[in-house]
Amino acid sequence: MEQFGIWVAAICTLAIFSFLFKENPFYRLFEHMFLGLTMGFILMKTWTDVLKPMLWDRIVAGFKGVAPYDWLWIIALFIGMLWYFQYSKRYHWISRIAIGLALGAGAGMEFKRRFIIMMPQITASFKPLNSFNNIFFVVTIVAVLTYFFFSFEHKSQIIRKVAQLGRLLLMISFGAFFGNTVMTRFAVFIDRIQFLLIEWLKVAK
Amino acid sequence: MMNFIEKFQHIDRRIVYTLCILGVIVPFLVTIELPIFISPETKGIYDTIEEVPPDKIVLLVSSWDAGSKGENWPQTEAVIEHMMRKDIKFAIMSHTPQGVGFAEEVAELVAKRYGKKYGIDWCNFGYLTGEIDPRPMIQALCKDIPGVVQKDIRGTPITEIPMMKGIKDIHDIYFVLNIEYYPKEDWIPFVQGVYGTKVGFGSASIVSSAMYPYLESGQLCGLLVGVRGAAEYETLLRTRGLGKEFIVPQSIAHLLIVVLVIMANIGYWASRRKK
Repeated sequence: MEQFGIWVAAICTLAIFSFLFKENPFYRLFEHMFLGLTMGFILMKTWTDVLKPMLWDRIVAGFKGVAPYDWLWIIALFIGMLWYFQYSKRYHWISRIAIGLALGAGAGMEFKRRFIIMMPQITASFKPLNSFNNIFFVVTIVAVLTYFFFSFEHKSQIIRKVAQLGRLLLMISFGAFFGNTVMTRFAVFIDRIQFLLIEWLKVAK
Repeated sequence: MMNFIEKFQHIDRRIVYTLCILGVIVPFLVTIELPIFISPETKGIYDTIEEVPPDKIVLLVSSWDAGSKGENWPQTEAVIEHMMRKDIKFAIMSHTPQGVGFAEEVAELVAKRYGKKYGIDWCNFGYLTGEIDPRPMIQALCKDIPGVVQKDIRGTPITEIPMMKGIKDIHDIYFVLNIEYYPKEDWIPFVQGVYGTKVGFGSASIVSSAMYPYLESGQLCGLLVGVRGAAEYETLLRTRGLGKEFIVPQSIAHLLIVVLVIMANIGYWASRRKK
């Protein structure tokens, strides 16, 4: 059975890799199969791992008296169901109650999130200029912030040069991003090659 | 000669692909060793796990799937190996439905090497939502772990799992390690920011650049960057796993890309000179 699984995985991998040569029906077939499988799996897991244990079982336990107040979860179910009124032209407005609640809660949490995540970032930017790393860090921040300062025209020669330096430093960081992109893409590819060579073909250790 | 150099700009993509395939395959057939240097971000994760007190556990948020298996599997395996070696108890959870199975597979694989048992040395909370918006789940989990999780992936109530005895809220967790393609930054404000619990990430290389500011500010205690992070971690553990296995073909592939970029630029320079 394990060997069968390995063969299926190998055929799937080769089917997807066949796109590198050119677009073909074999690739399309496996792409659609993968999408269908993923959707089915996510739907099933959302019910078995989330909705059933966290909502349905609690409501049932509440009504049976096992957990006295858990029947109140029916309110969450009711509010959640309001979203589906989006499909009705006549009662579309009802869905706004759920949307409004979600937006309000989301905005509150986001405010808290942004504040806690950004404040340490700002305070950590104030570094003593006692090492090359710190000086480079502060120069980069100032240059990049200058580049993104659009409130006035960069007429001054100094401001223009600092902004140019900021742009140059940004280009370097984009290069680093691209380098990391190559790294990730190759890691995915290496993983598949390792699978094909070691687990499927067994030509390497 | 100039005409030949100019052609460097237009190398057929199939030639590039063939070279890449060869560059990746050869290290699997011939043993090549490369020196591995430990970065401070990897050491940060290692040191944090070394410090875990016996009465606390580690929460391993493993939300990766087949798409980032090449980078996140070696990271997860290295960290789990470290925890099992040190007898540190840990709980796995996932923001994605697919993530649960992968992490469990890795844990069972490593458990065989160290004779560890499910429920005593580790447990799996399963899929706890939050792929799109993890904020409500994280906040609720911090306040009441048994209330949010209720049952593990095997259907056992959390309160009946031996290693979960006395584990009530975030204060009983020493370290939260989120390993996935793009770790959820929400663990930083809602766990590290509010409770001071240590948070670390294991990410794909592609997103690691966005994580470095959190290291700089001390919001993250460490970061595993792709296969490099896994290989460094294995070096710290003095073991050989997928990280060290993958880092050699990756280095060769990188070298190939650098050579191709230089060649293409020489071709561009030659064509401009001709004009």
